[in-house]
Amino acid sequence: MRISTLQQHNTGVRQLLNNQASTVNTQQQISTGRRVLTPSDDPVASTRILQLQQDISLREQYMENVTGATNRLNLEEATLSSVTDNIAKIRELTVYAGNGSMTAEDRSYVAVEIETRLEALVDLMNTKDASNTYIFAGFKGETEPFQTRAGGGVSYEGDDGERILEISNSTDIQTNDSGKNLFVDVKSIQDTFFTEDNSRNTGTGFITNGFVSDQAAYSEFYPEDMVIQFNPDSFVTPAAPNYSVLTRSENRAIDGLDGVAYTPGEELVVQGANFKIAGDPEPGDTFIVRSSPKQSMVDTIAGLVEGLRSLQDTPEDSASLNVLIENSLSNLDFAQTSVSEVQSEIGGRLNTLDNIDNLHQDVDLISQEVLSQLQDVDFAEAVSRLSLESFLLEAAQQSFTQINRLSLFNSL
Amino acid sequence: MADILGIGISGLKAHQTALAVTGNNISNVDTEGYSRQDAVITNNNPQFQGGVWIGSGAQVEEVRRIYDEFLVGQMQKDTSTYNYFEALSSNAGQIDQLLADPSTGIQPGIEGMFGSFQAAIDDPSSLPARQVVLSESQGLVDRFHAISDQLSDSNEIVNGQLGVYATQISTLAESISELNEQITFAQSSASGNYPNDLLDKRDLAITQLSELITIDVVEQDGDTLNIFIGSGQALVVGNDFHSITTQPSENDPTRDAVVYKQNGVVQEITDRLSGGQMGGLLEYRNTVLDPATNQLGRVSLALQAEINSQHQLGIDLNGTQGGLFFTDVNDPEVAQQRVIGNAGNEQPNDRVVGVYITDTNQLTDSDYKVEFIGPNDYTFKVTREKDGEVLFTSSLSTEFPESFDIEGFDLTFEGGTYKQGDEFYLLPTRDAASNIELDIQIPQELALATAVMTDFDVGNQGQANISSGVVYDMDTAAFEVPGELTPPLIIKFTSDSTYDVLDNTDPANPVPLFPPIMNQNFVSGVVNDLLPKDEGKTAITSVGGYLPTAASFQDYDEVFVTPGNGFFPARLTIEDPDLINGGTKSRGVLTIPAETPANEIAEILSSQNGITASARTEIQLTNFTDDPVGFLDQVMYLNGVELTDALPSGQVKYDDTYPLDVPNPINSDFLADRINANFDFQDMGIVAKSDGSTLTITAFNGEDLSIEFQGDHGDSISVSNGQNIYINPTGEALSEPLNKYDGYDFTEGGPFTYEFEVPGQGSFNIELTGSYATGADLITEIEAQINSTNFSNNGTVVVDIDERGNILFQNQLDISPSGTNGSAKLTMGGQVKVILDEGMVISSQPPLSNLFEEFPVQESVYLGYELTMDGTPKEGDLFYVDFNENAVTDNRNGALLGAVQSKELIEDEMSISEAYGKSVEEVGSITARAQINTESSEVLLANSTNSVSSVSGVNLDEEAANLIRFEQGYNASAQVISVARDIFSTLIGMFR
Repeated sequence: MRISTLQQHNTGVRQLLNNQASTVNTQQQISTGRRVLTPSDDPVASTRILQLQQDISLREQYMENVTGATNRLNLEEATLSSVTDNIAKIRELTVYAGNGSMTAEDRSYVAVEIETRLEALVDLMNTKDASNTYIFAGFKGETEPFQTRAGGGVSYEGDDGERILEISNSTDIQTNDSGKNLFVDVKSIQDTFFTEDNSRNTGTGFITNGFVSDQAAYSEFYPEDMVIQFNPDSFVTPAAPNYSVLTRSENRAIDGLDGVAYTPGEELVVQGANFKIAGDPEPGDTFIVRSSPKQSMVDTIAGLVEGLRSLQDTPEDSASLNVLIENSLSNLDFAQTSVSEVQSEIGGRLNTLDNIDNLHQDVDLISQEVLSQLQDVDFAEAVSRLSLESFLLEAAQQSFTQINRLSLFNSL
Repeated sequence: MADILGIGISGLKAHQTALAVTGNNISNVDTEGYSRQDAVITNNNPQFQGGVWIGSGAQVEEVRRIYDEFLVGQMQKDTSTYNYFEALSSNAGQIDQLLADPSTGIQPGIEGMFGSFQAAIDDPSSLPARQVVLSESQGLVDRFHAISDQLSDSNEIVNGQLGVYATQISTLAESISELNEQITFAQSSASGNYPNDLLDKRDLAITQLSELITIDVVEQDGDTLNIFIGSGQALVVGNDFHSITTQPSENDPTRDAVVYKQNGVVQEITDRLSGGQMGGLLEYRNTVLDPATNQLGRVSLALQAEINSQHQLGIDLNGTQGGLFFTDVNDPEVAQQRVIGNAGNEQPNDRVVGVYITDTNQLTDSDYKVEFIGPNDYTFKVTREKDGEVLFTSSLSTEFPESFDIEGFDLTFEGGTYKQGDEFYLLPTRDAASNIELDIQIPQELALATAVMTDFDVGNQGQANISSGVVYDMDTAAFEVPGELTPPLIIKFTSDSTYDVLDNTDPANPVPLFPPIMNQNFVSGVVNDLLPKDEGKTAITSVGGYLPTAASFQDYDEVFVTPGNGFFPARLTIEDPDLINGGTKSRGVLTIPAETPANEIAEILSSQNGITASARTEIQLTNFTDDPVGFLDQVMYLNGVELTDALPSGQVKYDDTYPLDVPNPINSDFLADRINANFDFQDMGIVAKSDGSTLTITAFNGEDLSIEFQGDHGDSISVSNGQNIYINPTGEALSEPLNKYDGYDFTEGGPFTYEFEVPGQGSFNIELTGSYATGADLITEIEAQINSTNFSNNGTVVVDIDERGNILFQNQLDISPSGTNGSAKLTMGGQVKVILDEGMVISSQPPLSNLFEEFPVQESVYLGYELTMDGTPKEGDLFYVDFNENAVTDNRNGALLGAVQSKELIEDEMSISEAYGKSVEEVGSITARAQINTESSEVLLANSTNSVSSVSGVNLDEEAANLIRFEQGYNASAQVISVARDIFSTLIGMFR
């Protein structure tokens, strides 16, 4: 076949260029460590690579969530075990106070110790986490959940919010427990009630925690709720601040308590329930007394302290004391149970977290391996390829110069 | 005469020429397009001399070029193919790298943004975590912009490059036409000898032209070449040429089109061109650049729309509803930018058209074309540009705005005059990635919490769990007041398996909703939906409880009187949405006879498709007045059941909570207790409430409530339908709230204006100006003022002022029995609430009815949120639903925002990451294919170039050999001349 001089030259040059391009490509693969440099190098593999990268980054996020959730639950667990210790100690003190040989004075010393423990408990119930939010406040993380109420007692100001964190594409984990569930929604041995200011009130009046003074009378009324409603002053003659006590179901006045003159801070006894209303309510303001089979842990302990302080060494008081000690012990057991239930739930959650974390680690390892197989260069192969390619390039360069040196004109 | 000298000279000349040709070949060894030439030496004609033919030397007959036109044609074709793939792959390769590069691609941005969401979900109250969400989101927006900028730069480059190519093509066309002319001239003036070098030049120009575009070469008259491009557009015809240029496309001014001008007619030929660099560039624009731009836009739209709508379902750190996270996808300005009117649309250009995204799952990556095809000015058709499929043909009505649902977006004609021939180009996705911006600026405004929150009552005995609630829509009445739920709800279990949902606005006194959600069934062991889910449904309410002008009297010995509820007859027109033509179409008229009880009206309406109606009847009795000198005991019947009977023990009419003794006069507490204890009423769902002075009887099934009252002449009770009309202040606020016991002085300040609204009659205004010493005076004045408006009513206006100082009134009718002669009777009808399916409309005839307003206001019944409950509740258990206040550590909406990452938002099967990955893969595949094709076409081109070169190329060794050969011939011829001279000398010497 006839070859033109230009053709001979061009062929050689093209070969040189091709060899150079593949050498550079191999060199680039080696220096980046990646086999697939652009999707067009291997469109199928690069789709898989994108998917795997997404998967891995999602899994990393899940693992971070696992760490976050574990930290939160560990804090909660530690706090709750301190709570349990305190309840146990209070229980011991209660048993001790019930000892018949104790005098009123002895009991008042016990009361002081229990009260100190109660303060410690309330502090624990208001525990904050690293980011300065209350761990038992539900969703209201910046609202102190257990606040001292005007007129005494402690009320729960958080909510029942449960924070959920996704720790795998099919598993969610609850990372908090509300103080309401733990410490307020605690079964009580006797019927009782909670009091509440109506959120629509415009005046400054407030209702105190209250307690049941006549269990039999209250049980008769139970489970009806009461509404204490303030009327316009002129409702009574002469005009003065006054209120009516109504049933919640029908708004009907109870025991003729309609238009009762209001004395701030006066102790009201309605159907065996004692409570006080103080401050300056406006007409139309209402206060609600809600019957309940539950009693908050703090109320139980505060009631106990109050009883230990006030009950004297008379036969009637002794009888009351026995009932009080007995009920308090039962209610403390219920409080303990409520906390323990959550503790075991937390244990379960921590287990789940551990399992899921292990799973993530394993899958992550596999994904990384597959990713590496797809995208990373095989160095042994690439380096030997590079040496072959550079050898070929060198050969092409040498043969090019040799062949082009040959010409008939040299012999003319 | 055969002369040896002549023969020698002819050889000398011939070889001289051959040497010159060889020299020329050597000189042109590197000349592009040069075909080697060959001097063809032939022997001269012989002469007949002395009986023999004697040759007379040689001559150069022609200098021919060594050339194979088929090989050259093949090479030109291969050049075109190679350049096509080369242009495609080098351009696509840039996008390929751009999309997948970790430093520029979208993928790391998406991961960054959603990762930051997870951190904020873990710690929702942390401002730094929220700030990271904003900066990561801004980072993603920047990445969208960066890629979109690169893509639009690439488009600019394509536009510029097309212009350059068009100029080059035109220039080459011009030189080919000139060469045609020169060749024809040269050939005719050289008696048919070919001007080899001109031919080479022309071939070279044609090869250069095929680098740019695929051409058809047609030979004419043997020496002229005509060249055609596209679908037969003549570029060169003989000595003439036509130039092509570029200009912004008529459809889409951002894309340059290639135009061809002939005889003053300008024609866009972009779509007809193929091959060469220009074809490769156009292919790149059609198959890589535009789809990649649109797909990127679609990803950005999906993210933007979904995150925005989810974000607006949450509440932020301050408790206010989440705003836009990204800018609004359907900002009117942006929506109108998605439509480009054809530059040729008839003036005046007053047409306003918008494209509004409705569903990203249905969006394609195509553009669309709208053409007003005639034969009138309102018929148009919509074509999907990607595959040319005509989606539909429709026509405009005269009302603007008018919307048409296309694939995932609404085409909305907002105004203007449309003419036959108008064209619009719709670009739903093209600019989305460059338009996306972060709207949210302040970390506190990140809406990670959900607006509703539930709570359980500490009094609960059961073990039921209420969900914390999911919000689907915050544009409902429930969320109308910022920071509040209207109304807050209380869920009350009336037994272990039934519950009521009540309005808990006043926790001291929860009241039923209307329509009531009462007596709902609860199934233990499964998840129960507590609230109705009726998105799009609307409700209308009948005027309700008609108070007659007077009670009916029943004489003891007369025919039995049965008063009706006083409702007028009505004709109800029900209209359904017309899905084909828009608007509504009537399904006919329902006739309601006069005095139909509300429960029956509800039944008639409920039998219609798409309508559910419920009814409730209420009657209030108050002012129980006893004749001071009376001697008859008061007797009361409700729906024919006597309530004032004294029964012996062992009775079976009441349960054991009933009051045994009948007081005289009867009072509301007594009647309430009797009604609630009655077995019949318990079965019928009729309940009564007494607050000590007013008795409220409610029939939850909506049947009429009839009372019959016997007693003395002077006994009386006031009856009303229980509807309170509130009188709302519209003027200056009072210095202290009113109450019903004290007077008030309105002379200072003011004006003290008030407004009240009566169902079916509209609103009325009153003004208080005087000074009133007592509450009674004040109430009398207000009553007088109300009566002086032209508000029409039966009975008496009775004004009350509640504990909070709100003024309200009722229409009350005092009824008295007629002593021993008989009793007073009254029947109260109920209120009907009608719930209509989406788009339905109801109207009532005749106007001014006491049943339904002529055009009742249709309110949405959709609360916009959902609650579920499972477990085992107990009777009396309470659950509360309210606005989620101070919920700084609530992460529920954050979790839903985070879930957008894996939500299928594109074509119902791809998440945004997957969709982006798919674009990357598509571009990668096209690039890979183009690269492989480039390589193989390069080999083909090399082969055909080699073939041409092999035939026509100069080989220096060959030429060197030729040099030797022709030099030898030349030398030999010179020897012949020398011999001739010797012969001549010999001959001369003989004569000396």
